[in-house]
Amino acid sequence: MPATTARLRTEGLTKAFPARSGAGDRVSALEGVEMTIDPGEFVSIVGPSGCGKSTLFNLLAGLDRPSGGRILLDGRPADNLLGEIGYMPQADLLMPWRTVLDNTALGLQLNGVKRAEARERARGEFQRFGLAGFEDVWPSQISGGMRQRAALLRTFLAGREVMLLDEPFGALDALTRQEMQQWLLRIWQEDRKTILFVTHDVEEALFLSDRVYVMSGRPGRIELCVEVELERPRELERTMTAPEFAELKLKLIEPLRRASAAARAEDG
Amino acid sequence: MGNGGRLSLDSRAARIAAPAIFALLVLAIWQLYTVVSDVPESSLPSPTQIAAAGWENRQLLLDNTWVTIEEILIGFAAAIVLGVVLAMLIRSSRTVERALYPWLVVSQMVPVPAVAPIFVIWTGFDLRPKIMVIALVAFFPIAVNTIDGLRAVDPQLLRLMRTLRASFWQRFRYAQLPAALPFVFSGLKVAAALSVIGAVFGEWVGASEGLGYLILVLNNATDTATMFATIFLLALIGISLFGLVILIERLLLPWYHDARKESSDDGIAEPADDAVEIGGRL
Ligand SMILES: Nc1ncnc2c1ncn2[C@@H]1O[C@H](COP(=O)(O)OP(=O)(O)OP(=O)(O)O)[C@@H](O)[C@H]1O
Ligand SMILES: [Mg+2]
Repeated sequence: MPATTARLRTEGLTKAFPARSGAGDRVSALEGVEMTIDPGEFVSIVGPSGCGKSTLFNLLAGLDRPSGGRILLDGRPADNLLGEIGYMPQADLLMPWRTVLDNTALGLQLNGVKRAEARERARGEFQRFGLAGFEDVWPSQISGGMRQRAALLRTFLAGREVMLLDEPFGALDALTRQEMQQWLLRIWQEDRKTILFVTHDVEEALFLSDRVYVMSGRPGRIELCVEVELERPRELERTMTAPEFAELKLKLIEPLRRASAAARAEDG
Repeated sequence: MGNGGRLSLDSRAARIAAPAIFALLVLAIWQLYTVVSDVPESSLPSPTQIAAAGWENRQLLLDNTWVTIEEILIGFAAAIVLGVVLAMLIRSSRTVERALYPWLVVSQMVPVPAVAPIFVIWTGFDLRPKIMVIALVAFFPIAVNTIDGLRAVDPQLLRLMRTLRASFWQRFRYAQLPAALPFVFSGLKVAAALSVIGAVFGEWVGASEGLGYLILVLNNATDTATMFATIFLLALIGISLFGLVILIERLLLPWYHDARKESSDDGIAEPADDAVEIGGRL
């Protein structure tokens, strides 16, 4: 197949949940979501809380079934995506009973790699992931930023070509967050995996991505798609102070604000 | 908790010394009281009289101690198997849970001293009725805590494991089981104490040896001092079994112990550590 085949594509993706109260209408969480992610791309989704970002990821990861539409992986409609795509959920979900090293090696071990070998392969990445020296401590003993990097390493080591990262830096303070963004870009540039990234933060999305989708809620839809043609490699200060960056930001903020206001109005 | 300046009270030595000093104090007051009030030895012997009687009858006490320890170890093991298997059955399906759980609770309403004679009728005067009584009183906290433990795993973690291609067995082995173990151990600690009570009940109903049986004999003979020595040995067995459970827990769950030490006031969810809470959830 030609190189133009999208790595991941959704066509008219729809998801409805049964109403909470039992009878009555179904809650429509996603409606007609169309997305295309090319191999090696970094794509972000921004949208207000509750607009269906995690719901979308659960469908892409194969954890839930869509109510309608389809998902294509490398051009082929995928019936069962479970295990085909790497997924890092919002919470780091490190196991308190495994050391940091064993946590990161989990994916390898679950796929039949012997524990000793899985640990060796994980250990080899500890420097790059800023975890060196913390191999043998419990997850409760490391900082929030390190926990996120450990969870990322676990996802990376599972070896899938596409990775879904659901707000990996949401819980970090601003400074750590910026460090993590630069670090993630470096890792991505080295490995060239395809990354789909969820965030609430427009600047974060722009700084990292080749393309940004803006979602609005109830039901979740793609409101806007913006190509980010800022030059790479990017650098925090230089990229964020570029006039194109400010322009893109303006382009995103207005629709995002409208989506948030709509979401709040429905909540109220 | 600020453990910086709290003198030596927080140190390891003090943690052992404090209860020891307290015990010595109680023994001293006890000794003093028996001397000044001249209660008869047959109703309250002094600590020194108890020690003397215990030493004099050491062979008798030792022989019966082994008998009771054997009952307790086998009974405790039976309680573990029974408790864990029941918990897994109950957690395996909603229907089984609905059918079994109420009866689990009902089993604890049965007065053990009342059913113990029936066990004797069924099995005779050997080891078996004691094991059955111990298992009956000790399986419950293990079962209840294990049921809670098997529920304790974060469902999100199980979903993550599915995206990592974990099989059903792997999800149990790598997530559900380790998440359950701290709860299981909470149950084991309570069960350890109950096992000793069970052994004494079991022996009271029908036995010709063991520390519980010995208490009955000594009671008839109004040898109160040796009776106290026997009670002391029973308590010692209970404490040792409890200590053994804690030791195994530390070896098996170092992460749990370390995390608790670090964030003891973080309010992290912990399983109940005592019988009161278990009773509370009924
Ligand atoms: N299992 C479910 N049953 C019913 N409704 C659900 C379920 N899961 C999600 N929803 C609903 O779907 C909508 C989207 O939820 P989702 O978690 O995907 O939002 P989100 O964009 O990830 O939000 P956040 O930014 O806060 O993480 C919400 O309105 C939510 O209430
Ligand atoms: Mg979400």
